[in-house]
Amino acid sequence: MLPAFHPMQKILGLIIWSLYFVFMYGGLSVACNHFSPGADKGALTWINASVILITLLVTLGLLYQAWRGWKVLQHHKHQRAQWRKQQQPQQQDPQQESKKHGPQSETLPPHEFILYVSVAVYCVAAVATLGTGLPALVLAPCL
Amino acid sequence: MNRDDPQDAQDFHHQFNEVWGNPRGLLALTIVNHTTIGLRFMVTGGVFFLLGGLLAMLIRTQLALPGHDLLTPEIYNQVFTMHGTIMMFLFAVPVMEGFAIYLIPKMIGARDLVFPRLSAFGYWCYLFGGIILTSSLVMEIAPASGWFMYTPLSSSVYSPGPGSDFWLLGITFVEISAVSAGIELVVSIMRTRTRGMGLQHMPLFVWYILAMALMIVFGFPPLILGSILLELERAAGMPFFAVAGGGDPILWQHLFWLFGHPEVYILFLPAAGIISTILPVFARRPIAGYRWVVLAIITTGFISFGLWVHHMFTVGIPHLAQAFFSAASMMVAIPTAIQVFAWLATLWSGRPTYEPPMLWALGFLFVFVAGGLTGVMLALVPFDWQVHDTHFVVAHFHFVLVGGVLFPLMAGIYYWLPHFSGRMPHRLLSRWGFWLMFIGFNITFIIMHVTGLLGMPRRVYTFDPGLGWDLPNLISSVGSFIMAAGVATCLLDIVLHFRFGERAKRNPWGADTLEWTTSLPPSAYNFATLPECATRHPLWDNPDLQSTIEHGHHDLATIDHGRRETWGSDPVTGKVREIIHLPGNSWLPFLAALATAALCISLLSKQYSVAIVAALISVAFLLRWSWENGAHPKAAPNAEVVEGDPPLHSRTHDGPGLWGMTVTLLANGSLFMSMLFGWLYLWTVAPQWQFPENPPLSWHGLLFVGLPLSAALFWFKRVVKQLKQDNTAQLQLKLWGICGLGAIHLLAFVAVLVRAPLAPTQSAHDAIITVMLIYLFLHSTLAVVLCALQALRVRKGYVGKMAPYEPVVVEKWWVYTAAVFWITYVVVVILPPLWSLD
Repeated sequence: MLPAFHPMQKILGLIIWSLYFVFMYGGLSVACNHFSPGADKGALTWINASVILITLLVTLGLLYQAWRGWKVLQHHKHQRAQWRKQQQPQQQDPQQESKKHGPQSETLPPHEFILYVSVAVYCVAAVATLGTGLPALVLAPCL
Repeated sequence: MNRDDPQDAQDFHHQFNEVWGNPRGLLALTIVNHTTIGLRFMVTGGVFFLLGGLLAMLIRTQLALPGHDLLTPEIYNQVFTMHGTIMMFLFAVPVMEGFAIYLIPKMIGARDLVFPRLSAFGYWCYLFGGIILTSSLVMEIAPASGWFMYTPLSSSVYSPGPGSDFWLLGITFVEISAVSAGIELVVSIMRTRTRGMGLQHMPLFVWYILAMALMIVFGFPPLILGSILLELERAAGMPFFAVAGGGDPILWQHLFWLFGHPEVYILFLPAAGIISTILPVFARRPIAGYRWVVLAIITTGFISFGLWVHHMFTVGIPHLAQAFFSAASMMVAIPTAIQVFAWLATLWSGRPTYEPPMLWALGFLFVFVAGGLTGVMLALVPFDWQVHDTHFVVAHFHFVLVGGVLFPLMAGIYYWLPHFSGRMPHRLLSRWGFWLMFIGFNITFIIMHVTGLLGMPRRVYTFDPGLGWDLPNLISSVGSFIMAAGVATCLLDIVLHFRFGERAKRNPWGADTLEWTTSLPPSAYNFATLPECATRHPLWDNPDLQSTIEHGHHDLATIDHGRRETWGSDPVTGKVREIIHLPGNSWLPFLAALATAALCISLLSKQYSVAIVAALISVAFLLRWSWENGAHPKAAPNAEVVEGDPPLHSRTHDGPGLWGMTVTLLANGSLFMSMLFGWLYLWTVAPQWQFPENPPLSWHGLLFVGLPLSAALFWFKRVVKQLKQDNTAQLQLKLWGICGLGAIHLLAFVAVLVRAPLAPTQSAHDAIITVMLIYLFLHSTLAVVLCALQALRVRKGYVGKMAPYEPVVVEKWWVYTAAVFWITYVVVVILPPLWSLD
């Protein structure tokens, strides 16, 4: 498993979504061409069940990754705050600091920036996966 | 030097000009500097825009009245095909690339792009390809099957003339340019940012261009493959898209739209980057939600690849599959909306001033949001079925492309005009230009939605009166003439400002990014010294930056070594890792592109023997180009650096070439995956696909071909490992040994090819296998040639313990060659007998 700070984490969630998407479309096309369950069965087919199952598994996996990144991010922020406290015991008013140095995002270390973005990307990918797979609840697969 | 002495400062810049300056006259063809190349892209794209616009006016004139006979049906088909083709391939993408090529080094604090010769080569390919393509229009033999060239309409049966060939060959030629720019931009952004510019400090425009460049790298190869296959079908009769031969015309649609939909975002992302750059400057505050915008860029880059089938909702794919694409089409609106909200929030919380660039930015917001909303309507399958192939779709994509690309582009032109010329635009004329274009555009295309809803199909050259289409068409045509007047006004303003425009003061708009620290217009080297940049707003944080850069207060101030240098930095943190030395002006890019143009023309005129000669000449120029690299005397005769500075990249194991090779292989891999997709698609879906009773390739024959390739690869990897440990014992001999193994592999390959009973003109099965084998063979051949060149370079002393860099780059090619060989082996030879779907 890639470390949480690895730059690839920024895009890994959406890479997983892309693979899921291609697999879903390709698999559905092949299944409908060669193992079509028939239109009269509506959405209650093994194809829909597979689509929903895979969708849920991928969504959960992506959400887990997001949660993992979030935990690391919180831990890292906490550590950084501790370190700052030790280094600058007589720190000025935070509002004054903010005015002087601009918004907080300006001073984020690169790895924390990567984590922020990657957690959000995992969440987006999870929503995209769920959004892609949910129509299988109601649509006949091969009509 | 004494940094405060004006004479010393002048001498200092004179020395830089000696090394970086551009020659004049015929030698201008040798220029590789990104500023010049970027401007050339933009000016050439502008000329093509005017040509495409002229064709648009012909279309609107023809459709102004029912039964109009200004154009014959044949000419009308050529005109609308070329209008779309020129606007998409010869104007929009190249101009955006031109902007990126011009601006990226300046924004990231570099002196040039990382592969300057590649930029020059890309430009010449674009120019020659564009001339070849548009020449067909003059000869009245232009392509006439629509800018998407659907088969079978574009096949030799229904389009027997050379029109389709012009499109397929010309566009492929132009796409070489696009992909080379994509590779160049990715590597430059990742590896040449100035000291301290971490990912979190990159200007948003740079993020947008990074996404665009990566999308080009992955998105263009499917169309390149499709064009090659269709040209092979037309020229050699290989039935990839002909149902009777086991092909399928829908495969073309998949390959085209695998490129075509990402293309829309390839255009939109840099345009949005321009907006994200301009709005904060004129709102006088940093952009709201920098991280949200970065998230939106990444998300758009991915999800836009999942939309391609929404152009094919009416071809008869299952409802559930349509639902996947419908969902993705709606989801892509979310990251777009995030950006729109970020822009609105920036304006809301800022103190906007309404200079000419801002007018265009605001016009963009209005038009693009409207176009996006009709896009969401079209993502709904039932609605799409109703308006498919009507003028509603034409109106929608003009709202997206004119609103989402042309308006931001105009904003960008006006914003960076002082940068290009050192002068300011005329306030009144520029405002007139904007309002004429904005009003004309909306009159033309708002009403066109109604025309489409009234049922008027696109691509018809005329219509009967009394269908309810007369008045809306007339209004659209009047609007288009108003828009044309706006274009003419802007053009006049831009041309006149070079002579009469007010001189621009330093940083005239009060911008925050590094490109405004250069002189106006900039010198060929951008920055005399490279500043540290650990902030998103270097000029707001340090308004004196331009002065300190000019007076040599920052890094890489030495030039007496005669090398063109810029920083090589860590892709994440921006920490400096090495000095990248860049090649100087050269004839090679021009000559290589010229030979490629000769190849293109000889293929068009079916002079295949000439084509082979032209291809060999082109390859020879490219190999010579690769020879003048690294430790070659023309590249970097000595490796001396100032004490405390990092080493030259050619003396390390990780220079930009390694990244260039990796990104090139990603593009190549995209092409290979498209080919595999074609194989699997035809196998599983094509109605007349058949496997022959006796497979043309035996599993043991091809296994024998692959074994020496793998052995050579493992040996090469071992040699590289030893090289990294400074072990260069018998390096040249080992490389020759690897070449020998590669030669055995090639001989075995030829034997298998000759013995295989392939009939590529009889069946799609054999045709696609033939293309795959040729692809593999070319890769193997190049692997052996590159290895031999390395051996020769060891003998010359250009590669060795002191310069161990190049074999690491070539190793990647070997790994890729072996990987695609074995993947093909499994998918084409092993899999079919194991899994019969019949």
